[in-house]
Amino acid sequence: MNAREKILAAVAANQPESKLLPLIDLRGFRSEVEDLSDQFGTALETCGGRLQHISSIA
Amino acid sequence: MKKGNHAELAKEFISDEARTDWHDETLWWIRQKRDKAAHNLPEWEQLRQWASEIKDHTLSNLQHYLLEFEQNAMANGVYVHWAVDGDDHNRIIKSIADKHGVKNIVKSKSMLTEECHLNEFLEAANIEVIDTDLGERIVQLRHEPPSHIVLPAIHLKKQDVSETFHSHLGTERGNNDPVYLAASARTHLRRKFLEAGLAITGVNFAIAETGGIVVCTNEGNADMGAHAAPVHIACMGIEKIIPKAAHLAVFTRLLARSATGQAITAYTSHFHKPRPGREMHIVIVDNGRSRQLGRKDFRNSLKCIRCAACFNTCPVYRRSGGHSYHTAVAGPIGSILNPNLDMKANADLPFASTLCGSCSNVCPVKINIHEQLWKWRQVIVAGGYAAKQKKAGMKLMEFILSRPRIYRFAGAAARWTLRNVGFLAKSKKMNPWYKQRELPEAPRNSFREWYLKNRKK
Repeated sequence: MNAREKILAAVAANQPESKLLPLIDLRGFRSEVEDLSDQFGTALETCGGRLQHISSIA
Repeated sequence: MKKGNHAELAKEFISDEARTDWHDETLWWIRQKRDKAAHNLPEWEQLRQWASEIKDHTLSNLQHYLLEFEQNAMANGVYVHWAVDGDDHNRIIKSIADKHGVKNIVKSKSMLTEECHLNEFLEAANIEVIDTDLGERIVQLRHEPPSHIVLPAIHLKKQDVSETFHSHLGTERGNNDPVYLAASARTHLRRKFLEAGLAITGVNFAIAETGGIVVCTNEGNADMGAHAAPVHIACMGIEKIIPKAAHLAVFTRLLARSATGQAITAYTSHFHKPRPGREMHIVIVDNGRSRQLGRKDFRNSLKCIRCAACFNTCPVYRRSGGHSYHTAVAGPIGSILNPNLDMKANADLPFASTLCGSCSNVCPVKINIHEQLWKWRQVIVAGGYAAKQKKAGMKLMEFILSRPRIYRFAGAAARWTLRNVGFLAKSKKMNPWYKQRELPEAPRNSFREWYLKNRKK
């Protein structure tokens, strides 16, 4: 018995009774973002940054 | 890997209190980033449920999916190898290197190759292996194992990195600027990438439907290695299989958010076939995984996607450091995976937990980690692998707790001892338990005595 056959035989002997594969549908979760700058700020803060609003570049 | 049990190695780590505090706070900060990222997705709990169910399905049909993956990968022109254990895995990689006359290898992060001790094996055969993940390169230069599966050098401060780079890469002594240090590593690694005759990567997901693999990194080092070298070897455990490419939409949403709080890793690279004139190999490794699959109480651990969220939340890991676990995969998940590999050598690990359950709460694939830790303790004690003192202590506790009169007498004796000769209990030599703890003042009466006296009022 080579390595492939040994592994496949061990897996077949030990795998549990078959369970169903869930149906995945992510379309229902798409959020409608109103304000892209708000979304950017949230994402930036999530990864440790901080958004500063400035009134002018001066 | 350091020698010693978890408690002995943790003692070494916590002897530097400032570093322990910093390590604890840093990992907790990452845990908080994970929380924010998770809370930003209303579908988070649904994703966890789907991920868990996809893995349940895959593990229950693993033979079928392994064969489907192999067939599709081979149809893509990929060489597929099978390794029963770590030695097999190492020999296969060396044989590929020998066939191509390769003496220089670059390797991106792969906990499987750490588990198989590949670097030591190849170095003994005079083949240079350079870890190209920055954190892994830092610990490799220091001749240390990674202390965390996602953040391998999280136990080090920038001053340590500066000192290491000065010694090994000739950088300016005392220059702790992270930008300077990262640029120096980049220059050093770029030369290694160009010299390498072979690149090794890990595998985050192997898709049965396509025969392709997905590798997630933040540094692009897996891509750089695999694209520059003429030969690419990807090493994967049998549990990395997912049925369809569409399932990646679930796992990639969960992985980076759970690991670092990022929405997605900077690089999510798909490898399907070798480029013309190049070779691509995939090594599928068992190394005890099929045995774990047969353990009903523990097979769930094979769902792990190596995000390390359980590390970052664990109060024991955060304050004892990754090296105290003396295994390639540390933390709570390592403590339920490693006893399967070697129960005697890893008998201490399931006890390195408060069983608070935080690990299970953050796990993106819903592994019941704390329950498995508790179950491993039972298996280890029943197998005779627990420390003699622990077994004797538990027997004594069982004797006292199952006899109410003796329990009341023992309580009264303990309170008297603490009040009158407390120095005995507070002696660090006589009572090692006291080393990291403060004993409260002993009350005069037990709760039972207080209740009997006051219940009529």
